[in-house]
Amino acid sequence: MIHFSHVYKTYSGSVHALKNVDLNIDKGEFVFITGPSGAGKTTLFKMLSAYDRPSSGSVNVAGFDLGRISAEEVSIFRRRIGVIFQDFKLLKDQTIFENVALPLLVRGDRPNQVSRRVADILEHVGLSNKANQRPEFISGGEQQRTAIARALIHQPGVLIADEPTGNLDPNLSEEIMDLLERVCAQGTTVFVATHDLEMVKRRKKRTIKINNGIIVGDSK
Amino acid sequence: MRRSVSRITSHVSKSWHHHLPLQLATMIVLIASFVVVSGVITMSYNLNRVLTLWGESMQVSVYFNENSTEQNISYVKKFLDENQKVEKPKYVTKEAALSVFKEQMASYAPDLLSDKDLVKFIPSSFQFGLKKHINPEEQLETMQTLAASLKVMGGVEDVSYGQEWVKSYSTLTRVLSWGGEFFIVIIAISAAFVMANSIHSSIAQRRGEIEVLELVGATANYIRIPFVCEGALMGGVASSLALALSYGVFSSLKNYLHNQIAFLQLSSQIQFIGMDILLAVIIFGVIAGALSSWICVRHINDGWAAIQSKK
Ligand SMILES: Nc1ncnc2c1ncn2[C@@H]1O[C@H](COP(=O)(O)OP(=O)(O)OP(=O)(O)O)[C@@H](O)[C@H]1O
Ligand SMILES: [Mg+2]
Repeated sequence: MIHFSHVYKTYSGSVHALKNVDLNIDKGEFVFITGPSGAGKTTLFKMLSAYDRPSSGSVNVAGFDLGRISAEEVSIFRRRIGVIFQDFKLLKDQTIFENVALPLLVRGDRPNQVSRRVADILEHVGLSNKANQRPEFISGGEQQRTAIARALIHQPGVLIADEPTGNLDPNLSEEIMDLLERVCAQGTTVFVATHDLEMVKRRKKRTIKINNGIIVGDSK
Repeated sequence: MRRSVSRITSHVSKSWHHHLPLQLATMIVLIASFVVVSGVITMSYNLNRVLTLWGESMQVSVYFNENSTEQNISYVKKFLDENQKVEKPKYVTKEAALSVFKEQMASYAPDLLSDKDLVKFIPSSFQFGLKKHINPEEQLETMQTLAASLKVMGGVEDVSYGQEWVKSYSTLTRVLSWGGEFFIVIIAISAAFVMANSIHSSIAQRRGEIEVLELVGATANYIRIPFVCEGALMGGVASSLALALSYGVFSSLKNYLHNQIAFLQLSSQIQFIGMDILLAVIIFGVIAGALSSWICVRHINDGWAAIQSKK
């Protein structure tokens, strides 16, 4: 499902965010990625989600060669994945409902179908009563759950979650992780970056450690 | 369909909400440009009408000399009948010309009428006008070529068509129509720039939105279409409002002419631009608006907007 081969990412100013990363993840796996701040977790996710292109090496996700993907293909690819961004990337001047509906709207789903799906998923993440609010008027944890709902609404084949529980209290964190495990159980490949080592230990999933742009450990 | 309409409506209302002064200024400039354009069109349209009316009354006379024969006359007649540009050639005999002359002169010089030799000095002639489909710019040239061919024919003494007057009339129409076109082009270009500026700011304001839309899988066209529609709407509304405004100005001007200089009877001859040109101006507004925003948004997103804006 996900193949990284000799992937390097160098930012301007010769910051080597990823160095010779090789990685293979099968369909339906649940993987944690941990590492200190600045280790390269978000950069790895950017390669994985076609947010950015690698400087060298090849990244292949769900059959798409992300280093060479064309402009037309990249939108098709992004519809197949769900991404929970570390900074959420919600649209300020749209409601929670509209934000969550975006992945369905851009692929042209019918309005009543969209409404039903959005209501469903908001119920799931406990945001039904905030549907008509704008992101700036809800709490950080609620924004995070909005981002999670948007990443899941189109039932993606791959879910990439960058610190999905960073702003949540322990109870809510567990609930969200349970939700992600259920999604995984339905066949979605789930990839979660986190600082919460306690939780990683408890969940007993494959864990990849990254430091300084190099993969230093893989529990598989 | 309803979904995309509401998406476009919210896009446009957001532009107006966030950039009211700029949007207003843009709209005013666009309307002003279209007012000027429709003013120029109305003016040249009416000048053409008035001049064409005058042009229609222009007559060419082919005078025969005293030695002209029946053959000469029928040769000229055949030439005129067969010419596609000649309208209703009419042969005027010496006698007919004389009686017209007498009629006109009766009150001025009654003595002349009894002069039996007079008929000798008045030539017979062909008189004709030009077909209506010949536009004012071509009239002079047509008359010149016709005159040149006629002059060398047997029995023809002279060809007259008010040469000097036709020349200046022809120059006038030419200058006006070229000047009008040039002016319209200049105005259109500057209006396009103003429009592009407004679309650019609309894009800048939505940079974040464009990035997020791309990241959730929106295609380039899904992102661009609202901008193009915004431009089309702007062009359409601006041109329509401008035409309404011009019509108001035109009507009051016509009224004024009617009251102040009624004797010229100008007000009965001038008209506002016809329905077809009216529609054409609005369609032009819509297309120009859509086109200039398309030019602006062509390159805003190629799938990697999120990462490009960071560079
Ligand atoms: N756009 C960029 N330009 C230059 N350097 C960058 C850019 N993005 C990230 N970096 C650098 O690359 C390295 C890896 O960053 P990254 O965001 O991947 O870390 P991270 O593991 O996600 O950290 P955190 O846990 O704090 O989110 C850091 O040194 C960072 O400063
Ligand atoms: Mg990060």
